[in-house]
Amino acid sequence: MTLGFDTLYLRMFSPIIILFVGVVLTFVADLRKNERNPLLPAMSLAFFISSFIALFLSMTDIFPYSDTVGVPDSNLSTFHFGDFYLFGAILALSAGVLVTLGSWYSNWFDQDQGFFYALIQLAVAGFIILSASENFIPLILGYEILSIATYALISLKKERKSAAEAGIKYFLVGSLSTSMILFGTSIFFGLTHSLQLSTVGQVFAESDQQVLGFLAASFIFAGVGFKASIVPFHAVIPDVYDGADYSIVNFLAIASKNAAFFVLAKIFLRGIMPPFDDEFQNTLAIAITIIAIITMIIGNLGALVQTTMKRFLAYSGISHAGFMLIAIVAYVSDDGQVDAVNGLTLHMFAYLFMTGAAFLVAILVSQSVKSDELYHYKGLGKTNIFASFVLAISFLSLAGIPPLIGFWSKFYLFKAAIESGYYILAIVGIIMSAVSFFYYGRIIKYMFADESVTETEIRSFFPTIFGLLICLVIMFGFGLWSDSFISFSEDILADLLS
Amino acid sequence: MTTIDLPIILFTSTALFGIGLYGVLTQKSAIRILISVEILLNSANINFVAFSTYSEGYDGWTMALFVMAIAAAEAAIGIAIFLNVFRRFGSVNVPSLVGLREEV
Amino acid sequence: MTLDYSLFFFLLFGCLAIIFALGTIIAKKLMHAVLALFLFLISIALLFLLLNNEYLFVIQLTLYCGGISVLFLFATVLTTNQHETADKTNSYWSGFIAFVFVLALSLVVYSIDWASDWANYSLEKYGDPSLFREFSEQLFRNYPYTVAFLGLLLLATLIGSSKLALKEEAEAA
Repeated sequence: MTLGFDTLYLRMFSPIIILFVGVVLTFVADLRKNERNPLLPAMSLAFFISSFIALFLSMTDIFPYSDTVGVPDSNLSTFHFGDFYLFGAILALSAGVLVTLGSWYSNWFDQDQGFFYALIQLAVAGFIILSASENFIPLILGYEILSIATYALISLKKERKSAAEAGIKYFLVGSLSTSMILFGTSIFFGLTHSLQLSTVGQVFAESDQQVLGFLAASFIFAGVGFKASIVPFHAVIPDVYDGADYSIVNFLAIASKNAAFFVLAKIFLRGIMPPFDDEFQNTLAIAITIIAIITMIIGNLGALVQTTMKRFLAYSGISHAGFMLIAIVAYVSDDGQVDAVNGLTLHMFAYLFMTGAAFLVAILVSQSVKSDELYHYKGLGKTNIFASFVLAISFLSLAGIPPLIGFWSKFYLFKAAIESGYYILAIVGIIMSAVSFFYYGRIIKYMFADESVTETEIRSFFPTIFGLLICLVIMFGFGLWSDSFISFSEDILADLLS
Repeated sequence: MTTIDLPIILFTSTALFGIGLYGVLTQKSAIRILISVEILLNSANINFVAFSTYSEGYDGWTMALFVMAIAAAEAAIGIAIFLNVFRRFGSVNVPSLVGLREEV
Repeated sequence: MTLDYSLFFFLLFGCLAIIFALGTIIAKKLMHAVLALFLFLISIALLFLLLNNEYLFVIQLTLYCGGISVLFLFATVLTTNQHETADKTNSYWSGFIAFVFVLALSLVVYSIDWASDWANYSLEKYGDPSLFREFSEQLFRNYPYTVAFLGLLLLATLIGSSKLALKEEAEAA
């Protein structure tokens, strides 16, 4: 008998192994109690960057590697290292880097720094595992590693009652969602005798058990929809954002949500919803259309009336989840497929850096004024010109102003909706983008047109400025040269369909 | 050989899923909600084991193993979170947690 | 020909599992709910045994009945206060939702002709040691790295729950 351990796998998993070493070392380095330790974020950043380097070294042709690392005597390979994996790992590690930079001088983690960075690295490792998986088992395992790390992270700040409350709410809904995903998976396993994503899709396309498949798909959708903050399942998300600490909310917004959409893309786009053009896919598409419309409306209208920054960004995130759902619907038809994947990948990527930039600025402001109310942003343009400039750029990009990356991602999403024949999605999307100008514009007006109400000086720190510069370069760079990303996302589509 | 029909197993697991879902939706105590989540996970596990036994592969059994590990991890982290909440609020009843509300 | 009791036992333990699952909801005291959970988990373990898998039976007994139940017992003891009751919120709607789910799933399950799709369950391999050799071979042939990543899950649990539970000393000091 040959075991499946293979040196090729070790090479491909080197980013995860580096993060594992990072977790252990960060944990060990946190020996000084009740004292800030600037070594810890530096270590965390170093491990994320070396993981990045390992990722690119393992994926390029500098050393030869085989595309799908399988087991010689079996056609079953539980991991697949294609462009979709590369994309997911880039998302995970960028989120890790941004969160580390944002929390560098954060005053929240005087005692919990080591735990914080260890758990962030574990969560990122979970994201990388799920993006590499080609099988339901590692997919759910990776998702669960991410979930459990975030459950602990949210409750971490124990001096505050609200953090404990946010933690228990997130945990209870999250564990329900995990069991929903597992039950849906068990039905798909029963229908297709397989847990391989592509096999499930192929066998299911030939079977005639549409109704049970629909039920199972809605179980999975409901389970994933919670962390992706899709509307009927979004109820606790604003509360959790409100209760948890900024650095953790930053991670929830830019990593957890992207991971949930990644799972959705793995199961729906790679598994059960490729363009088979039969009744099942169309029924599911119509159901998701309705959910997407409700999500966009609730997210955007909810963001209009918020008075605190965290809830504002939570509702902004909900509305963007609605935009991303357009891609899942448009993927069903042959015509919309290319632009659906372009739009989905570009929007996930763009959302990470746009929201990441907004959170980095929000961390600075909340740290200085010790409050989360939106009126503290009044006059920010005079006290901290760079931070307010980047925040304005990220809001313009989130709203979808042309030269920025957010415009292109929405452009491809709406184009996909029109091409696939779901005009209603494009119409609602465009109207809701127009609505979003109001609430994003309101804060830009606060910053540049209004007089300051707080005396406090908003300090910026070097790591945050560095993170903001990264976001700025990406928002402008991929906005002006979006073609370079589109060629990558076409590779991703080829990888999804392989 | 006499058989256990597959639908009987599926009815069992479906009924358990319904009971678990009802429990999650109605219970007030967080510990009872977690108990209901364990019931949900077990109902999924019955499905995995049954389907795997009926087919020739072993994937479902493997999945059942992993589900057990996931359930254990969730119970451990959940009970740590409940203890944390109990220290703050003196109770783990979910309706008594009203600190975070929509202010508009 | 030997009489086959497996169907009878399956129905028996299936019904017991459902009754104990209901018991976790109905029980007035939290301790009784945990006891019902314990019995429920044992019934599930016996169902696994009837479904031809002694391996999962043992793991269910040790991990679930031995580990998780005790965890719940600790939680019950540590978080008990005087006002703990089996209160429920909006029972009717939730009951309706759960009932509709069960009904829909059952109808769909019943409408499917499983027999054409699945080989009939047979006890031919019952107790066959080679079954478990194949199972573990398959586990380590196809999922070696997934098993290794289970360590990451447990590490996350360990770090997270130790932090949440240990903090009390620092606060007391």
